[in-house]
Amino acid sequence: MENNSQALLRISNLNKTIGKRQILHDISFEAYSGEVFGFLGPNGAGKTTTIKIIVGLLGLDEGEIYIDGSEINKNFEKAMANVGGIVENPEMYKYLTGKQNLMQYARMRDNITEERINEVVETVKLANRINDKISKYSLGMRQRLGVAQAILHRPKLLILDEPTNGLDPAGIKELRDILKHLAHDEGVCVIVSSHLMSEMELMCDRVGIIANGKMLGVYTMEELVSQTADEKREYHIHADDPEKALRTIDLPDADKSIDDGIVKIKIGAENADENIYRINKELIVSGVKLYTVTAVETKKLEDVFIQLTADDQEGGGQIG
Amino acid sequence: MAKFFRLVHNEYIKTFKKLSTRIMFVLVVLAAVGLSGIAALTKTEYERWDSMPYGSPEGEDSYRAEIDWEENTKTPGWENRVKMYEYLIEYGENAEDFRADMAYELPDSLGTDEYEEYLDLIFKEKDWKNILGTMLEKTDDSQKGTKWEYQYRIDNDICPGNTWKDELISTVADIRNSEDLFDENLFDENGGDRQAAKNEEAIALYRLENDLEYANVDSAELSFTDESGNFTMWQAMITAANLVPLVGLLIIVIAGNSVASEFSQGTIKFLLINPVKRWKILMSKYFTVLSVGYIMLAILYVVMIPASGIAVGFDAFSAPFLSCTNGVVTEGSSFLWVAKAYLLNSISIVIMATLAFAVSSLLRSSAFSIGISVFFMLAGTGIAELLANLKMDWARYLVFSNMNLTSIAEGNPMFAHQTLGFAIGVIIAHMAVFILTAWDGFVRREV
Repeated sequence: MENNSQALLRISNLNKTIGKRQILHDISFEAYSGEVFGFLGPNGAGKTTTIKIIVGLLGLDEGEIYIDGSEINKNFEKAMANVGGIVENPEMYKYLTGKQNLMQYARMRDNITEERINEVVETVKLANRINDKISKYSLGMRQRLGVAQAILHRPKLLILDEPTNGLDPAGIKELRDILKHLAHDEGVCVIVSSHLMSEMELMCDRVGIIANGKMLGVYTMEELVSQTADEKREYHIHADDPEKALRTIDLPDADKSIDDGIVKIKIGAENADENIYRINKELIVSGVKLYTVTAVETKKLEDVFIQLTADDQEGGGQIG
Repeated sequence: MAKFFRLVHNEYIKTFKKLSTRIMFVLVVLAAVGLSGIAALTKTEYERWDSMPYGSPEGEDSYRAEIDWEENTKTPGWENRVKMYEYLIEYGENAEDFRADMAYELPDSLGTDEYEEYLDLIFKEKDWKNILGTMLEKTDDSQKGTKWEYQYRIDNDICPGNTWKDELISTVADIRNSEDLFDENLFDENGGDRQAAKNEEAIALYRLENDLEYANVDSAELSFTDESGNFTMWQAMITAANLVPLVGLLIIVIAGNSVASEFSQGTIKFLLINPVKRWKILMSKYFTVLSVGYIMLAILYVVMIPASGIAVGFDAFSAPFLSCTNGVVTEGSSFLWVAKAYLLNSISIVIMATLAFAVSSLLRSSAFSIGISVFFMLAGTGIAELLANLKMDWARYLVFSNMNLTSIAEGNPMFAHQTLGFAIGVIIAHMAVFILTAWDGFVRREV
């Protein structure tokens, strides 16, 4: 595995203006070998623009991008030799077969053998359809062929722009497994962009969040999960007499309400377990038939993400 | 360099795997075969006219009709002509060869007795050498060409008749007869100058001496028949230079698609994220477009060889190409002559393909680039001519005013003092602008 302390991809102070609109503001982040780095942001946040700049499709106004030590504008061919990717949709030459398409990319790279081509075809599980024309491929197959194309030359940096778009759940899982295998077992630095937190949660080791062309922060998955912990916890109490149950609950700073025959209470996260034990006990003592008490997860990762990006739109900035 | 050819290899695969490209090649082959077919049909038609009966009973009837006409109109010299037709009727069978022609050519000024003497000589003498010998004596010294002809025929044992040499001998004789005319006036009645006539004479003599039944010479117009009126495979092949603009049309389509289709298919992103500089990709595309054009031309050429031979016969296969400067004849390869004609005609298609390529790279629209280039290919020369007629002198700097290098080299430019060097300079300048435009559009634009 590559030396982990050295960033494989280092982006500093990237600025980009298209027309009159500034698309990217001072984007900086680093990604390392052996990790799956999620690039997360709502539509129009600047994910694809950033990716296009990294792979050299777009020029940059300001900033530097180093890939494995080579600056992309100063040493384009050397920098790109370590990059593989899919940008936007996996478009291929429809009148060529899958194999012929791969051969096209093989010829643009150095030292790619026939065996290597067969190997990646096996990796993406396209062996039985590789000699069909692309016009007969489904979107999922094209996406997998795109991955095959991107990893053909064993890149140190693999960049996939919204790779799960249009894939069915089985396809998404398959792709996830491939990417995790490449990062964790083969030491590739994998960068995946998405606007779905749930997808990132299952795939990524670290996530960089971007909104309105600004990098809001880079978090490990654990950090994000801990963000879901809140000051309040919510419990749903299902009992035969909700009115009586509501009256019985005696806790000074608790939010209490009845909704559709269910008592909902929110209590401080501190001593929550102790308090809910007391409430349970009081309800039973008071003669209410208590059926269930359920803890409700108040905040999901998706909410964290929405909150993070929404804060920024209000000008709030970083989470504390 | 190896990497560049790998890129070209990619472009070739992309180009040739497309159905449209394959159809284009079929079209080129069909055009070559079709043109040969037209040559064959034209030849058959000519031969049908040529084989019309002549000197047969029908011929006899026509002679009698001529006699009736002469007797009725009584134009000066009619007695002589009636006598001639009577001889023709009497010696009908012999009249089929040179004798009839010789009789027709007798001058009207001869007195009746003298005229009859000649007719006796022409029709009653069996040995043609005696006829010519006597004619030679009787011919006036001022008729240098005719005298030379008789002497030449006797010396070289060439009996007048329907052989290919007759044409050449009479060409030389005609030129020599009017030589004095050339000396007085620089131009003959056909507008050719004295030197051109001398060159023509030299070529005719060269062919006679070297026994060349078929030979190719440069002629201004492309036609299925050569100078002697023969249908030869070479004439069919040189006529096929007219098909070069068809190849131009096809190559404009390929050029217009080469860059634009990568954008419309979305494959440009996959092409450009590879560790290859963009200008190398662009150059590999340009190289591919032009080389595919020349492959089409080569196919046209190669298909035309057997096709034209099968259509009009391989008789002239070994004919050389003769050119003459200052009376010195040089023998060259006819294969090269035809190839040169195709290549000269290909200059305009290279320019138009480059234009299509540049527009395609700049605007990323294949339809637009094909449309513009085809328009200029078809209308460019016309526009240039129109501007030339309107005395708009700046139009000499347009590429369309300079594309016909052949006529500029021959000294027939559209604008005054438009030299070959000037034309080539204008073409190179335009090409440079087109290539830089393509370059800028492809290398600098953001994807």
